[in-house]
Amino acid sequence: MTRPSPVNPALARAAVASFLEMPEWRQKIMGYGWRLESIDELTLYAVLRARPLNDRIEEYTVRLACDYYPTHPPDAKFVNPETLEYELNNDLNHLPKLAAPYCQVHPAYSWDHPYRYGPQLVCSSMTLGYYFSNHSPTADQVWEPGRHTIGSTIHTIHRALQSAHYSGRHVK
Amino acid sequence: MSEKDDNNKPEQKEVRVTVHYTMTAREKSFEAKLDETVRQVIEEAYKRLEERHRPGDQYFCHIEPRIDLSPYLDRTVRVLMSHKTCVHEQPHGNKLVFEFDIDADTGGAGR
Repeated sequence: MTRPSPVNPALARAAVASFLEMPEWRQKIMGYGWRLESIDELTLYAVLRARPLNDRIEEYTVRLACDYYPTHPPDAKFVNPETLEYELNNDLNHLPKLAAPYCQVHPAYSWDHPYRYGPQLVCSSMTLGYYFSNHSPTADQVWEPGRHTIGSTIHTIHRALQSAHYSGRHVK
Repeated sequence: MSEKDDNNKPEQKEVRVTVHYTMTAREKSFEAKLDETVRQVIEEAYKRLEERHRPGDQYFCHIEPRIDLSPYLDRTVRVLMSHKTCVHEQPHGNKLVFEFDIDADTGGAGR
């Protein structure tokens, strides 16, 4: 599979702005209780809740970089909610343990090629990193511009966080 | 409402279905017979959404806890209702509601 290239920034900015105005996703964002904010015109972050474990509900912050969007999905990575960054040695405790067949989190993936958003990989065909790693989605799993949006990426992570495949927070 | 009033209610034969296609945030609503199977309702939902069944699609109740509907595919909506699963009465009304999600598969095998 050919590795993706960034989208013209003006087109990417317009696509992000368009997503934020989509009524069907605005309704879902409210319904699911996601907190979605812009860092800049091409970068968003979403605060998502995980399923309760031991009577505790944990929240996680996902940073979404959209410079390859809408041709490709946003990069998605879990970050420290205070810095909105991820430093492997300091921020491991801001990552959930997720091992869903459709969405897994690797704190430090073994990248075969340089990837600007590494080392973390949220492994799903709805995230950009998937297309920079050695994964091969089926025709039905592959990102389809127009059909899939930033909301598809967030929902995939939300779904995994709410599933039995979530088993708590990583320990530093 | 008293038990007597409940007994006087006309028997319901239909349910208002709302389906959510979670990857695209699209939703559709339509009526279905209580004697239809869950699989028949899902097939109608795909038509209304203008989607098709894709390998790995999964079906869940929309309301938490998201109960997996796969054990019920060949049972009727009436059976689902008798198991108090997914089907409920609309608040402030007596209309039955069956609300479910279709989750499409995404790639994500770890390494």
